[in-house]
Amino acid sequence: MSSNPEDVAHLLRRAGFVAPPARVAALAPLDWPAVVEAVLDTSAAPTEDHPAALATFDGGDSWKQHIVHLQWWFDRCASTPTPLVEKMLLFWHGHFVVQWTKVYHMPVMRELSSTYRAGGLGRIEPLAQSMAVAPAMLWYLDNAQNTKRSPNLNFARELMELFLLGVGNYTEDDVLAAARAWTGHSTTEPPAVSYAFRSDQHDADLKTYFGTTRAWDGPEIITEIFANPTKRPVVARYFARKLWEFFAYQNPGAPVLDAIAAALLASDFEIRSALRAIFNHSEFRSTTAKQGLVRSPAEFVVTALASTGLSAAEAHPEWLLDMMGQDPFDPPNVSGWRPNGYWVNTSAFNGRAMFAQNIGWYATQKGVWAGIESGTAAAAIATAEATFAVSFSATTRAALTTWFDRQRVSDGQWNMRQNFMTLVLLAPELHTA
Amino acid sequence: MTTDQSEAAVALRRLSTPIDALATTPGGWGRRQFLQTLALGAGVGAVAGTIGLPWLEGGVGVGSDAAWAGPPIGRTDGILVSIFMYGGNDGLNTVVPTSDDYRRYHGTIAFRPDQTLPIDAEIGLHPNLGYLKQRYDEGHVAIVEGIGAPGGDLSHFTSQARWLGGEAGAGAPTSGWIGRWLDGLDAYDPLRAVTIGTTVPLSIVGRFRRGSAVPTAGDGFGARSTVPDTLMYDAVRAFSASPAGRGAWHDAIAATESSQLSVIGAVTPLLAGSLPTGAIERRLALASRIIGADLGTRVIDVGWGDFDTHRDQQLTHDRRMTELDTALRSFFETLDARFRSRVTVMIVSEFGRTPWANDSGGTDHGEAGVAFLVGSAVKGGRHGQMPSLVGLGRWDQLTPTVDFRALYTNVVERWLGADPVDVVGAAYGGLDLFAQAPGFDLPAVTPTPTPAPSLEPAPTAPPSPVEIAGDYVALNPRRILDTRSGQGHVGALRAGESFDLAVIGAGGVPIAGVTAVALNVTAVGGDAESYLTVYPSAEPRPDASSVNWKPGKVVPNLVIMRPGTDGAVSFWNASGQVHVLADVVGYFRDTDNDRFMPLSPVRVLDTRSGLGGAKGRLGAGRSISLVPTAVAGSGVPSSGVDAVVLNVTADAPTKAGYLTVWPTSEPRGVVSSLNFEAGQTVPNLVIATLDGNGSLSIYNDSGEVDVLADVVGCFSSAALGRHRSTSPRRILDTRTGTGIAGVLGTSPASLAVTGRAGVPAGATGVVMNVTVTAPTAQSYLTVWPGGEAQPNASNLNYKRDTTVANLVIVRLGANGGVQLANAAGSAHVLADVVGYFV
Repeated sequence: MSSNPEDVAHLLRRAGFVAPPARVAALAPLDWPAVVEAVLDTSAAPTEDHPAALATFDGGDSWKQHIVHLQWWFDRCASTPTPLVEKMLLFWHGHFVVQWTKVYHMPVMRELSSTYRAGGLGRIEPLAQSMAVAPAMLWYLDNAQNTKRSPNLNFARELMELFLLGVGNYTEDDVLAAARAWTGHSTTEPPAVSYAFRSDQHDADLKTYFGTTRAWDGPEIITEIFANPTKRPVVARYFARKLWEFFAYQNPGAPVLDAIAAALLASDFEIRSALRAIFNHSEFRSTTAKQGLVRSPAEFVVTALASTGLSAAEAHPEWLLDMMGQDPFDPPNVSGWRPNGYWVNTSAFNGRAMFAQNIGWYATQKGVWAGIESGTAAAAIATAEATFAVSFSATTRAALTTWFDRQRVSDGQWNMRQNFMTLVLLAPELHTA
Repeated sequence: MTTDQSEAAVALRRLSTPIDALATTPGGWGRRQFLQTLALGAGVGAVAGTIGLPWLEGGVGVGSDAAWAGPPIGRTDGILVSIFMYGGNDGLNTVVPTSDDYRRYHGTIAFRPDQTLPIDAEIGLHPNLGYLKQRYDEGHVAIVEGIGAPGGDLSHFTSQARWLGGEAGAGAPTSGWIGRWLDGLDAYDPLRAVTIGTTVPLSIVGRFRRGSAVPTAGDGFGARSTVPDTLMYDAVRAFSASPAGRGAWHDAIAATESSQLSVIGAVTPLLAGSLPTGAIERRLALASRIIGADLGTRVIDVGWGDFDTHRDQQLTHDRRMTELDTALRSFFETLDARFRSRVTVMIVSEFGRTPWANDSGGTDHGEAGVAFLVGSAVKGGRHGQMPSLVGLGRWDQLTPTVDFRALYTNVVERWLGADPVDVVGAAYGGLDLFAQAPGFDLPAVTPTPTPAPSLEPAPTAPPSPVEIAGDYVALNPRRILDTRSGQGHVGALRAGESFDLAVIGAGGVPIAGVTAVALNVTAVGGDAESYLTVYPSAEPRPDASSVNWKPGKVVPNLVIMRPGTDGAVSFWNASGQVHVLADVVGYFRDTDNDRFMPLSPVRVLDTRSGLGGAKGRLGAGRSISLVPTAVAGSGVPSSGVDAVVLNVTADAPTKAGYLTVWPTSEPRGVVSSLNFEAGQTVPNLVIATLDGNGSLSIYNDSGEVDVLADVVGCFSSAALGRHRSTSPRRILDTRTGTGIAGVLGTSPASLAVTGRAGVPAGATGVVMNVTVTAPTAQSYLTVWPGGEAQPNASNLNYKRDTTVANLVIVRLGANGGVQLANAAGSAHVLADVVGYFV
């Protein structure tokens, strides 16, 4: 039994960035569970070929390293056969947040990214344990300064409030106890940074956490959250919502959350199992889901690169990420990015428009769409739909058609390709996910 | 670490939320400048609210881009500049107590009284706040002490959510206080409330509307005026021409893209020239320019940080205070004097900090803080109450004595002219922060008793008529002037002020061969009775009027004008100040093209009777199509016609709004063909371009309205009449006996045209701007060819004792003249010839 190609394209966009027609055609003959399994199969993921320039700390050129990192990542997203891996990387950078602009140390940032890439589809608990002792996180939420003499609550609070449980599922006493448990978990001094446990700064005394009194140590705090029978359903529900809202739509109903939470509990919190439940859920293919998400700036950039064949080094997305509102390694604060309306404002779309103009220029330089200006508007629009794997609404089609004909009459053909590319990239169809 | 505090206090003072941004990283390399925005659900609430009815009412920028006619800032409208100090400002080191208790708590980072700028025996200002102190001494600063959000939890997020949301309740707010103020306004456009930066804070997100984000730099998308750029902008606007059927987010994105073009168009002129580089200095400098441009902006939100001084506070906080003071000084010193009594600056932060300094030379998250209002209308002095440092409150913090919503109540009620119940949920008492109303020192506008046109003596030597022949080329109308957004001219046109608008090369008008342009000009919300003269640039201003209005009205008129030698036309305003819009609808050129075919006036559309195919009042957001050739007796040839000249009348509209007339199969542009107010019957001459099927459409923006249209001519390649534009010359003034002697009554009067005002014998039609003044009754004027029967048509509609104008294109009778009749009472009539057809 085959699957609806529109559904397949929807899944490819959500589980990745774009829906290449060839990929849609390859998957559509399969039944839906098989399509989902094909998307979840990340065994073909390429190895991490980080540029050598990212290997060391370069105090004077950290920003340049960041640009290299961004460009490398965008190119990887645009070309990987397993975009789901990179999509989950984006998810985790927006969930277990570390801001590049606070850390500003490429080896530790890249290491954190590698952790998220390697474990992004696996069980949440080991990923959380790795995250907690990653130097980038130890710095970012100040646990490197969390000492027995002066406990710092920052990491302990966010671990529960934002990372694993959500507000209302712990007490202030639990926060303090967890903070004390995490004292002494620090790093070596830069430049060669690694995790270091400083027993002289660790509070080994008894603490009462979730009602149990013992000499809690930091990692046990995470273990307990995933073991505690009253907390497990909370964690499952918390991630069920977060994942559903990242992949489908906002404010899902209880039946949906129950189904995804059950999948998480049954798999001991494995992300891949949760995604299987999400993609196979009938609601995932509903109109609400298909019209439910706005493409984030990072997703828009990947879409533009993957569709035009431009490399990030050619298109320079880093020039406009700030204006568009999303640097994938630098969320605005510890609560990460928000969806949809968060991206839709006049300033952010000014950034998207300027990026679209740049793409129009660079793509034209490379000869993309050569000769399109000599044909008909209908032919040009068909080419655009094929290039970007979208289907334009009648409104968009009318706007583009009118432009095409007026431009040719009023101003000739000399910059038609460039401006047509800009307009196509600004079509609302390119900004919904 | 101090030792005399409870464990809870120790824990809480170490509490730091995500946005702790100080350099606590090992080695202290780089750090985030603090979270730029809360952006808590920014837009989520707004867009959710637009799925359904509010969508039609202009939520999320829909309709914001439309040819909405918003007035410049009124004489008594207050403008609020809201400065948010993100991260939690140390109130005790901003308004510094002289007490020993303070110095004991603040320890190494405390100021001695002699280090501060003394206010009185109890307090002094931070030493770097010299300008604020100067304004305080002038009585222009209200210090609000002990202000806070009740029931806070010391979290940046919770506290910012409350301050930005403007409400203190459970759960994250989904709308902000300024946003709800926007929701309640009668009229709205995206520039009414703006934030300067790249993200929209919750404060300006309403339930249905929201403000815009204005960038601080850049040659943005929407800034240029070349043909290829404006063609692209048109296409982007057309993405939102009609709902795409792809869901609410698709439409919201399309609408945002359209608003984005307007915002960039408006702010680009303001970004020219040098601007300071510091975050708050730059934002306030831009705020000053935005206010000076009088774009209708009432609220400007700015924010910066970092104030979250957990470590090594002194250096950082001293710098922040210097930045604030410098920015305030330059803001007020560059502020256009017209607005000084209409601007209040509000300075707030999400919370104050702990009374005690920590062992890192910093302070941690606290409760009560300090706020300021600055401006000449403010009631200067100390307000609220400094919390006691002797008996500290909950968590050993400074207990707030003033609810922040009392500050908002004052601002909303006294400065923004709205009901605080609608905005902050209730009217919170306890503060009295304003001594004066906005604009208290501005002279009252005295209405000009009589319309100014031609009360002046006519120029002794009228400009030599320059006559250039031309054929007509019809365009899909496009806006080329909007002083509200700075397009074409920045800011309202003041009394006696003129400017030149380039029309050659604008809005689809080509660079070469143009002999005249047809513009629909709309005067918006002038604050005095006045009129506009439109004339060729670089020529003497003629004694003529193009658009006349009364205070606060929105009045359109078609203007056909020859550009001056530099390719521009000049706009001159007689008195008061007024915003002006111009939409180019077509042009005449010196090569063969369409020629004018004057027709006897025939009504081709009347929604009251169903004539023309549409019966019933036209609703908001609805369009009707009309094929003029299909109306029996219209006289419009069945082929070869590219445009028709219609006198369109909006009858008895229920709300203020506008009509757009455009070729049916093309995108509807952001233009207005005829603006009206509730209950007002308004005609305007419209040159309506037809599409390939001979069809035109009429769109109504808001309310319900009956629409009438009389065809008076058409442009066709088969016609003989070639247009010749002239400099405006008066051919009729019943007040002076020019053309027709004495007041015009209900009996038809003849006006000779050929051989006068530069119209040669043999002319087939004339283009005149006709003005009626001092009518004694509500009535209308009809102009028709001499020697023919009076048609059922109207050219101007008016109420008693008003002055209105409309362009009239009329075929000349066999006797070379026209006839005029006034339906009721009597009226004086003036007419200026601006062109003719041969």
